[in-house]
Amino acid sequence: MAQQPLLLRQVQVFDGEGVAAPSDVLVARGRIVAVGQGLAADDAEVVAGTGLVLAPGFVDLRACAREPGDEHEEDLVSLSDAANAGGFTAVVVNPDTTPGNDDHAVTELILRRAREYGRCDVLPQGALSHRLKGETLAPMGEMSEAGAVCFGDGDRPMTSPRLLRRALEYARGFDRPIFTHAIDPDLAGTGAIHEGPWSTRLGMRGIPAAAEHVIVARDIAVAQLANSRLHFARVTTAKSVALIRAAKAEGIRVTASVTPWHLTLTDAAMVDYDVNLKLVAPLRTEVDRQALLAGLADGTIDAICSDHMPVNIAGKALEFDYAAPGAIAIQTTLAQVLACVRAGELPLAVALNALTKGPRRVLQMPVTRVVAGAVADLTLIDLQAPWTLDAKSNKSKSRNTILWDQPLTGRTVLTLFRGKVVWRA
Amino acid sequence: MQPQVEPGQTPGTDSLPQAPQEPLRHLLGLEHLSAEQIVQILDLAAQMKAVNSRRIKKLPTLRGVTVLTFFVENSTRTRMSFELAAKRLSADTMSFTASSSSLAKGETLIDTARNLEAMGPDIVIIRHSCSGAPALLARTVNCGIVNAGDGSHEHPTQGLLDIFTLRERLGDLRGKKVAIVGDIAHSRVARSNIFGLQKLGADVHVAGPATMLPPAIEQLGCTAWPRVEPAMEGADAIMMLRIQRERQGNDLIPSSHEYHRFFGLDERRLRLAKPGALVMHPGPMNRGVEIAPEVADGDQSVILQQVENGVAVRMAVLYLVAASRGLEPQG
Repeated sequence: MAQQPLLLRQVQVFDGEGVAAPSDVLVARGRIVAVGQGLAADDAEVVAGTGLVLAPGFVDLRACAREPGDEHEEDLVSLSDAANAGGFTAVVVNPDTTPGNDDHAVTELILRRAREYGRCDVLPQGALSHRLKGETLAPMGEMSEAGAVCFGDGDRPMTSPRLLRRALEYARGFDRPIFTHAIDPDLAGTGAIHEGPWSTRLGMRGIPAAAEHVIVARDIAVAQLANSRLHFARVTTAKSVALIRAAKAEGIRVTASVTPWHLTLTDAAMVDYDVNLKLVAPLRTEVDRQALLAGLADGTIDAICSDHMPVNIAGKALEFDYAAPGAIAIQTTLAQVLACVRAGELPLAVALNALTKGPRRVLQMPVTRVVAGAVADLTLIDLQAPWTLDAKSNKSKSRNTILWDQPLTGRTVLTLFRGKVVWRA
Repeated sequence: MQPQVEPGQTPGTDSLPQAPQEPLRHLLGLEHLSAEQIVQILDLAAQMKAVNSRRIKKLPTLRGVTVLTFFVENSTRTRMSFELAAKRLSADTMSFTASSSSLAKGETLIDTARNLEAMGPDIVIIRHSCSGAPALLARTVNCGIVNAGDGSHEHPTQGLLDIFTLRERLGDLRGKKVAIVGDIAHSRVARSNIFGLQKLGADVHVAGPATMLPPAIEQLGCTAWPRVEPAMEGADAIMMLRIQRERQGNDLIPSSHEYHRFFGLDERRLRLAKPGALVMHPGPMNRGVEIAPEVADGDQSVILQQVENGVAVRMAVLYLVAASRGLEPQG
C-alpha cells in the first residue's frame, strides 16, 4: 500500500545554523519532495506546523536494546518505539547483550529483528574483543560486512592498550571507529559515585575524575599511534574535554559524546541516594558540567547520546551499592537538552546539531538536511510542549529514571522514518 | 515541665518530656538534626540514665510498641544495646539478622522490608553495610527508622552517645578540641561525630594516614591532618577509631605495626593532649594497634562509660521516635 503523502504546513526548518522562517514541507514516497511556500497536494494529510521546528531525525550513538537476552527490560521493538517518541530515527545499540554481539550471526539477528519492525535504523556496535573479554580481537570484518557500524566492548573498560591499538589498526581497514568507555577500573576501584565532597559527606566510595582522564590521555596516544578513529562514548570530566580539545587541535582522529545527565546534573543530586542516578559514568561537579557544555559549543564534543540503559525493577529495588547502573533516557534526552537551551547554557543550534549532524560525522554517515530529495527521516519538535514520562507515555519496557512523573518541557510531536509516521504525540 | 525521676520509683509517663518541636520521625543521621534536637535527645538520655541506675530498670512508656532490629551486617553489641534500650521502655522486640534471612536467597531489600512491615513493627532499627540503606527503607516502609550504622555514612546513636559522654565530663562543648583519629574515610562513627560535635560548637580535628582521609573532608567544617600529633596537641578528648582491615582491602596502611608506631595512641602521644583529656573508642578495640592497652585501661579512658551511656541514649531516641508517631504514652 502506498503511503499517503504528508504536507507539513509552516514548519521552521532547522538547517544546521538555526531555524529558518516558516515554510511548507511535502513528503511522499519516503522522501522530501519539496520545501517552499504555498505547497499543495490534494491527496496529502496536512499537519499544522506553526511554531514547530523540523529537524533531521536524531541519531543516538549509545543505547542498550537488551536484545538478545534481556527482553524483559527492553527489546528492539520497544527500543524503536521509545527512540521514535524521543525524535530518534537511528540508534547505535551496545554489544553487551546476552550473548554479546561479537559475531556476525548476532549482528544479523539484531538487524533482522530491527528491519522486520522497520521503524528505526538500528546500528549495531560490534564487540571489539571475543566474548567482550578484552583479550583477543572479535571478527570485525565479518561483523562489518553484516552491518556493524563501529566496534567496542560496551561498558567494559579497555584494560589493554595493546589490544586497543590492534583493534584501532584492524578497524581502519574496514573504515569503522572504535568506541570506548574511558575508565581505569583499578583507579575507580569499587567506587559508585564521583569522588569529592559529596562522596565524603554521603559515605560513598568514590570514582576519582582521574580514573577517566588517565584513560582518555592514554587512549588519545594509542589512537595517534594507530592512526585510526577513536570515539569516547561518554566523557564526564573537564580534564577529559581539555585533553580531547588538544588532541583534535593536533589532528588526532578522536571524537566524543556526552549524555543528557552529565549536561544537566551534578554529584550534588546524589544526596538522596537515588538508584536511578547510579550511572556507569558518574555525575561529576558543576565545573565539569560547565566544561562539557563549553566542549559541545566549541565542537570538542561531537554528539549527545542518550546512554539509554533500561534496568528492570529487580535491578533497582536495591541498596545503592548493589543496584544495577543506568537510566532510561532516549525519550527524555530532547527535553533534558532543551532545559540547557532555555537556561541559556547551550545554543539551540548546538543542541540540535549534537543530535543530528554530530553523531553522523562520528559514524561518517552522510549528513542529512531538510531539502527536496532527502530521505524523509524527520522529527518535528515543539520546544515548549509540557509533558510527563509516565506509564501512559513511556514506550520503554523499563522505567528507571528520576524523571518519571516529573514535568518536562519540549518534545517530539511527530517522527517520520522513510516518510512514514512512526510517532505522533 | 521538669521531669522528676527518682531512683527506685517508677515515674508516671507524664513526667517524660513532650515530643520536640521538630518531631523525630526517623533518626537517619546527625547531619540533618538541629543543635536543639541533639540537646533534647541528650537531656532526655540523662533522665534515662538515671532510670538505668535504679534497682528496677524499667519504664512502661513504650508498652505495646513493637521494635524490630533489622541487622544486615554483623554487630552483636549495638543490637544488644538497642534491644536492652527497647526492653527498658517495655517495648516488644523482634530481631532479624542477615545470616538467618532471606536476603541471602536473593530477595531485594525492599521486598524484605515490606514483608517485615506487614508484621506491623512500629520502629525498625537498621544496620546495613551499604550507605543510604536506612534512607531507602524510610522511603519504602511506614515505620520509624533508626539508623544503627550504614556503610561509611553515619552511626547516629554512636555519635550521640559519644557526645553525651563528652558533655557529661566536659560540660559545654563550645570551643572544646576533639581529635578523631583513624580511618576517617570508611568510618560512619567519624561522620556522625563530625556533624554532631560541630553543631554543639566543638572544634573537630580528624587525623590519620592520608590514605584514610576522604577527599574534601575539610568541607565538612573540620580540620584534617595526615599525622596525628597536631590533632592530639591540646585536645580535650581523643577518639580513636577501630582499624577495620576487613573493610578497606589492605592497601591503606603498610602494617598494623607501622600504624601503631605512627598513628596509635600511646602514653607518649596522650601527653600531647590537655592534662586529663578523655580517651574514647567506639569498640571493639584492637589493643596494640590503634590504642595501647595501658591507655585503653588508664585513668583517662571513658570507653566503658560510652557503652553504658549507649543504652540511655538509645532509650531516648526510641522514645522520641515513638512519640513523634503518636505511639506514647501507654497506660
